[in-house]
Amino acid sequence: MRNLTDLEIIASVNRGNQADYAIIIDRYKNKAFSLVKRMLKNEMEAEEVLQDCFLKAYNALNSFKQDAKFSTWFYRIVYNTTLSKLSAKKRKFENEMSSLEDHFNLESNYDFRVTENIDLSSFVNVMLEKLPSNYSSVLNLFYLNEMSCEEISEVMNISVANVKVMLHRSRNALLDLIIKNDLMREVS
Amino acid sequence: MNKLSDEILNKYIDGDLDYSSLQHVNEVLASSHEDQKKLNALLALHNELKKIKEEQVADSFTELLMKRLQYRKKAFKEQRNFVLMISSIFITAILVVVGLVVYSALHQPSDSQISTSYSNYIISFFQSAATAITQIFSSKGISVFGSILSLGILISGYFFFENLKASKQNFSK
Repeated sequence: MRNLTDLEIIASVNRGNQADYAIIIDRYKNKAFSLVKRMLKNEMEAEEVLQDCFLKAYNALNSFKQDAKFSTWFYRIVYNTTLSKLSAKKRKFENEMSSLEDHFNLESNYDFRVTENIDLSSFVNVMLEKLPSNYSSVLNLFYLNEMSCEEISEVMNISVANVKVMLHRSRNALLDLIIKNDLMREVS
Repeated sequence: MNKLSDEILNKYIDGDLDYSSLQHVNEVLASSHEDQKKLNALLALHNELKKIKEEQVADSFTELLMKRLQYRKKAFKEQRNFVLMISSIFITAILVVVGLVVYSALHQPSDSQISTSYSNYIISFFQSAATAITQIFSSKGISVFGSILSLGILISGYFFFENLKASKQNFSK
């Protein structure tokens, strides 16, 4: 059986085949969960928030304009819902968002020294959990969800230039930490 | 010492450099071991990031979510039916009142019985209807009508609240 496109599934759900929504859930749950979990840094909360996101998306399916990609539309819901959760928890996420022009010093805030034998891959995954929410979101959307900078700017409602700045800074910060922990021996 | 900035190297990786900048970067990379090393490190990180782990939700996630959706749909249907039922009761009550007014207007003895012209009949009908409405909404009538209406709203409000509570309980299961 051929893989149905997102739009075909949505059309089917809108016709009343509620069960088809399970295909959409299965298609996006893990990638969306990765994003939410890395933003909230809490597995239980992330799963709850993700459920709400899927329910919100289901209720708003009728208003989904098919001129945009479903994934971009859906991740926007996920991102905004998670942001709301974060602001409810008073984590001052908005300060992070507006701190793009401020001095970004990931190294001092997230000083991470490897004390045991850890490979580069594990290190990157651990550090992703420790990055500020907006930076981990950009990396997650860019690498895991394979979205373009334009799509990410739509999801996060920031300019493409800002997305690129955040992407570069996150990479540089990670690289500095990797060099500091002498993990580059694996690749050199 | 690095000749190329971090920004340039990042743009190089992302393919955001124009042709002349790209040529310049390639020339520098060919001559600068430090820059080449930094680029390799950045590329290694870039490749590692491409392989970042996808987090897995619980196995029962889809099943639970679909159940929640079904409960929600069911609760919505129940609420809609309840609202329809209450609305139909109120509409019936209004129709009864209107019917009573029309009935009393048609059967009230007045000068219109003597009158044979059609326009006089219409005028006398509305006069009678106005009298009947005035009677219903007179100080005595309005208190009876208000009491019945308040009771109706209270009872339907209670059942609506109970209905919502039951839906919420089902929804959180």
